[in-house]
Amino acid sequence: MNLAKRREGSAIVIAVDDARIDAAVAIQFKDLMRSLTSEPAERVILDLSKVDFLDSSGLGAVVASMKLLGSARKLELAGLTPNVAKVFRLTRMDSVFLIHPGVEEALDSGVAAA
Amino acid sequence: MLDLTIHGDLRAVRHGLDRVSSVMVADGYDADIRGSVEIVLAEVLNNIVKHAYAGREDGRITVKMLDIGSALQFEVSDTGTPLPVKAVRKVEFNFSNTPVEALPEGGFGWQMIRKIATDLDYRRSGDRNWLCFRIPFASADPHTNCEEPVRPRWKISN
Repeated sequence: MNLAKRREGSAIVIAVDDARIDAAVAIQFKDLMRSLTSEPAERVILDLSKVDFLDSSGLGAVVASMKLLGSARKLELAGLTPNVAKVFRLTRMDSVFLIHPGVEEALDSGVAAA
Repeated sequence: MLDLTIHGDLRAVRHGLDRVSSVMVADGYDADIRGSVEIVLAEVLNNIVKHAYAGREDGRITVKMLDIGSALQFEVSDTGTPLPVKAVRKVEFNFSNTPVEALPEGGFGWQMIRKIATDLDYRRSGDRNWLCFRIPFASADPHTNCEEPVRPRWKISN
């Protein structure tokens, strides 16, 4: 499981450099997110554009990662591929996350997490 | 069209899903149905590894896939512990007013299976679990599928 972090002003962008976030790597994903989001940042944007597949364990790990941010920041998502978007829709989790078409749009929107 | 046996561990599940996907690509199925199959089959197989075989390393899972014209029909079997009926109860989540700290981190698997798959049928026969289900082709909106009038032989409480 590879996650790449970069700074964009007051935001942290974390790009998932793997095709799958599934049961085999869910715990590892959550642990990596914990360490990558430990520094202060106004916004945390998770770039999922390389992820083709997310299962329920992976989704649970994404939700857990948002909880780690505390109640002041929401985890923002960008670049959902069709099957990943479907998982968010089927579980109604699309109503929980702030979802952007891509990282550029997320940064342009300048929306502070609600 | 496919008859597969895999080891009961999470890495093997990945390989199994890859196999199914390759066969479907070769046979010309579109990305939408391949995606639905991958979502449902991943949940079914991971549940078997994590719950039915919980910790056992000698488990085997067999997967049969058949095109019946209107749908793909699946038959999945294992020799793990029986599937508890309460695990598959239908829960409709609504998170619009849920504070972040109270959001669930699990329970999504069966919710997705129930929304995509139809004709769910579970049987325990001897030491073997059999789960059968269909994934219909005309699934422009998967939300309508969970309301299919076809009732499973194995009564699932709502």
